[in-house]
Amino acid sequence: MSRRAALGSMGAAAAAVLLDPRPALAAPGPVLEKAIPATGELLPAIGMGSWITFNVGDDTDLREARVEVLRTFFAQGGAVIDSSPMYGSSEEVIGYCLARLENAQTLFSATKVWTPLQWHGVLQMESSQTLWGTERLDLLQIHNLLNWEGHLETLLDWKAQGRVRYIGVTTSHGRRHGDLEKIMAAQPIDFVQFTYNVLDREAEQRLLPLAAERGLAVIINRPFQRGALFDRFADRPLPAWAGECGCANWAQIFLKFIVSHPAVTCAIPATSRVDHMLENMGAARGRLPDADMRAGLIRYIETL
Amino acid sequence: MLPFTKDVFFRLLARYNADIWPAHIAAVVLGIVVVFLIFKPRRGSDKFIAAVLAGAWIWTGAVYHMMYLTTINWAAWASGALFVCQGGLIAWTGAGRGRIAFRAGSDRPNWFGVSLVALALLAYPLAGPLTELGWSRAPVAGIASGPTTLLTLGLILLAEGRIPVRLLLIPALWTIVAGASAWPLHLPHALILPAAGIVSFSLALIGNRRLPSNAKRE
Repeated sequence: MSRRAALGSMGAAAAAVLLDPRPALAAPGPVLEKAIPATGELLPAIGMGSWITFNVGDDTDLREARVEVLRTFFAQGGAVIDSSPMYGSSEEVIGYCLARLENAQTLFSATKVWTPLQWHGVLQMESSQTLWGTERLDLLQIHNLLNWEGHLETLLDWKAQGRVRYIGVTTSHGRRHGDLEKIMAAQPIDFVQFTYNVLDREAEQRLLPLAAERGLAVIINRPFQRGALFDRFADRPLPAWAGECGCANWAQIFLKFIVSHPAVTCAIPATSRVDHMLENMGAARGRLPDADMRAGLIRYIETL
Repeated sequence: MLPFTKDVFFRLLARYNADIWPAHIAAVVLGIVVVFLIFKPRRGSDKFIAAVLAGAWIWTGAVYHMMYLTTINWAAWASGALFVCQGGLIAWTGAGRGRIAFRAGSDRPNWFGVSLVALALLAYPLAGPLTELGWSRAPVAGIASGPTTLLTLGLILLAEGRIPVRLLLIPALWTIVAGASAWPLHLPHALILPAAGIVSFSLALIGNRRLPSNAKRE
């Protein structure tokens, strides 16, 4: 290769790096996947939540903006999208987006049932399926354990009929861990969802070990404490192992801390912005921190 | 915690205002007529004022809450129903049975009532452009929840004789709900509404204690 050609190639490569933000946001390599213990099915370790961020009503401009967020999510290897009837128009907006995307084949649809009435739960789940526009929902979860006995009966029936592939229960904000533990220990569910992040680590004591013991897939909500972690740490230097694990920002540090726990299947950060989606999905590639790095991160943030 | 962002809420307010234009003009004209009639009553004016007020609650409940706000907040079905109920209550008590006479007087509840009417009809919408709400989202009494609630509190405090406290229950409750909802969005009326509700309700109770239980309209 001539010097001129070589310089030209180097220039093109440099321009590509400068013009495309993605190489700086994501470590190279395949998407990190974790297995659902019940079946061995692999899921990308970074999914997407939709609380607040996808509740835009029938505002067409905002819906189109969410289409781009989801397009980015799937382009970066995402699959798990989590929602709930409690989240206003989020399910409807997700359905709107999915109908306009050509790259959503990997979708793993996860929603919830959220009503005190068992009969209404059936209507709600049927409505969710219509709103998502999918042939079958992948995961149905009982939101915040609301009437879990009644809804579990329905979910087991639906699963037996093949109307849903997996079933589970959820909590958030660290609430009702005792009740959740009892359900995890005794009921035939596939998934649990609860809050876990670098500051809220109560789940490490009992829930995560129990999930591992019982072979339950674990979805983690509030990975950023709804943005509060950025308020506290965003202007602080990244921990020493950031580069080693391909982390270019705090979002990736926080997410990799979560999904590096052996019992965690997937974290579901929510965002309404394409640039933040790129940052989040950057955590789905590259090396995960080991136990020493995780412990070091906790020590580090405790000094900040 | 609200299930939507401030940006989404503001866009919804702007779209609602744009969609119902020029209903704002009708609302403002009716507001001016109501103010004229509380100072210069005419035959049938009390029933007319009650009908206007009832219409404002029913419109706000059925159109703003149920048709617009429900698209981002399922709880708006309940708040919309409350607004429609309040409209029905005012229509039945005031427009139907003629049990309220609205008069601008000089005692303390009256003074506060007139202040609230002025706040609802003038200060509230005009504050729009002075705050981040802007003109496009300016709340107008009769078609927006906050100023309609303030206008109602003010007019009910102007009732002659014993103040019909039952007509204050839903507006006072709404001031608390609206204040709690506005607080996380850092909206200016987060404190104004609950303060107006609490003071109005207190003044009504105190004013009624000074009157015999069978006091009729003068």
